Amino acid sequence: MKRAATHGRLISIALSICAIALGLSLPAFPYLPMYTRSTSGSAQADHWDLNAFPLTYSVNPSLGSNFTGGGDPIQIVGASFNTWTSAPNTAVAISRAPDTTVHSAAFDGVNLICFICQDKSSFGGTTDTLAVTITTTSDAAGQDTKHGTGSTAAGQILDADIEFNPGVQWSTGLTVTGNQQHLQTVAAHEIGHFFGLDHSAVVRAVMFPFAPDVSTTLSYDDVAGISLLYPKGMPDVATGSIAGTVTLQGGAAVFGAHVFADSISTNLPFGSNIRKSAIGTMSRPDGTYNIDGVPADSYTVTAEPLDDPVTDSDISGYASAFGKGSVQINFGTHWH
Amino acid sequence: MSTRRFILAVVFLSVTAFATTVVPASVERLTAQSTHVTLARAIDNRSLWDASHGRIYTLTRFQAVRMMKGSLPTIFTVKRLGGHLDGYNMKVAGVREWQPGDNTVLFLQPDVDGNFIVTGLMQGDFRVVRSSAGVLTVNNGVRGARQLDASGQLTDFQGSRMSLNELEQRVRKAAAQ
Repeated sequence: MKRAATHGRLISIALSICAIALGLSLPAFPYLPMYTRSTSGSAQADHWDLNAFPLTYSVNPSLGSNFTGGGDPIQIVGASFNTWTSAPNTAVAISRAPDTTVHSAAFDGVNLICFICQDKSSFGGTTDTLAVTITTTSDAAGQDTKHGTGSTAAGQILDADIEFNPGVQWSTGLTVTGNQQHLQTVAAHEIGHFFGLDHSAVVRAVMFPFAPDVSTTLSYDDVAGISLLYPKGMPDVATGSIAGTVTLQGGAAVFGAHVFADSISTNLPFGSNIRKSAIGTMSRPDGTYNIDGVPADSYTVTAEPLDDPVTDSDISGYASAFGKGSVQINFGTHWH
Repeated sequence: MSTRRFILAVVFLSVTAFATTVVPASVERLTAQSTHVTLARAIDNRSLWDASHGRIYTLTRFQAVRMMKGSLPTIFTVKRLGGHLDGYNMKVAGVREWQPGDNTVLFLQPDVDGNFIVTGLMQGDFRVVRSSAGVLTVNNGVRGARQLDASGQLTDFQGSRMSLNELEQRVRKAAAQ
């Protein structure tokens, strides 16, 4: 199937699909992690080095009366971590360390989960900010990790803290009512950031910046992201890569095009517990892209500008990590 | 936005937004929550550790270009959590940095240290860009969304993309109430 949708001025794009094959090795910049610009100027995907020190989180168990619904917030956070760590093709484990009395995010060697966090600047002084995830990465190898070791590379996550706004009414049940927010839905999204994922432009992804009131299961796009950051040696499901280059007519490379593969079948290669969705990525400064973590299936591939509803603003570090001011949106959407 | 993506948005979006995780706030709500609103231009950035050496803050000096609510000195400083310092990169997912020369409409609250914070993190930060038609437009990265509720009713949420002129009129009207 091949369709083209163009708007207004010349917006021609040439998108070449160079390869679709199972078992390709990982490219340098898979999927949409957050990025750290290294001291040498290269963009490195943020991730935990699972061999550097034990990956744990500590809960400050203090709770307010703003948690209702019958569930245990600490267990809900644990379940949300499990949602990610049990993703297909993913080898990342995290354990709960002893509880803490720390109530403010900091680079201190404690990966804090905090329900009563009072720092005004974290939430911008409103209850409209439900939760924040604050990560600290190293810009180079050899930085103090707060665990008695040096960092191993630029982009290594050294600390991550999730703060839930104490002014928000949280539902610990299965649904929300009135002005409540669903704790597990928000936790699932924040934990994606905790592991190093940035926002996704794929609508059904947990990491999409706008989400349903209740959504706690991963999508194919989320699975691709987490499994590429933390790949399992023997994957549960064979996956491959779709690679290509996005250029304008005339050959100029397009930086920051959102390119995604969308299945045209009803197959469920990741099983029924993972919500089927497109799998996306962004093109690099030279226009090349790799959509990785793609299970065997039939796909259409689409390149589109990141111009709504998700924009450059939602993927805060991508352009700057490549030394760019913003992604390009001066082209139209094309399907292949 | 492509037609195809629009259809997807209608089906799946709700008004709860994640961007670190925020509920979209209207211009009027942001105005009510803010003591100051101004069009401003970023001058420079300086990152520093807090007293416990656990948090990196970035102080950005701005030049006030045109006040829309309240009164500020010509040069004022905004503090945000996160920044680059001493080989470390602290970031809050979804929150953007300012570069010198960036023009933005800021919704501000005073912090306890005499600096200002942005109301609602990225929500109170409307970057100004000139459209291809030459119109100054603003957006805060928190987009419009449509909600399909259980009864099948569609509800529009007013997105953040608008002209600078519209934003200013809405701020001034809300501030006067």
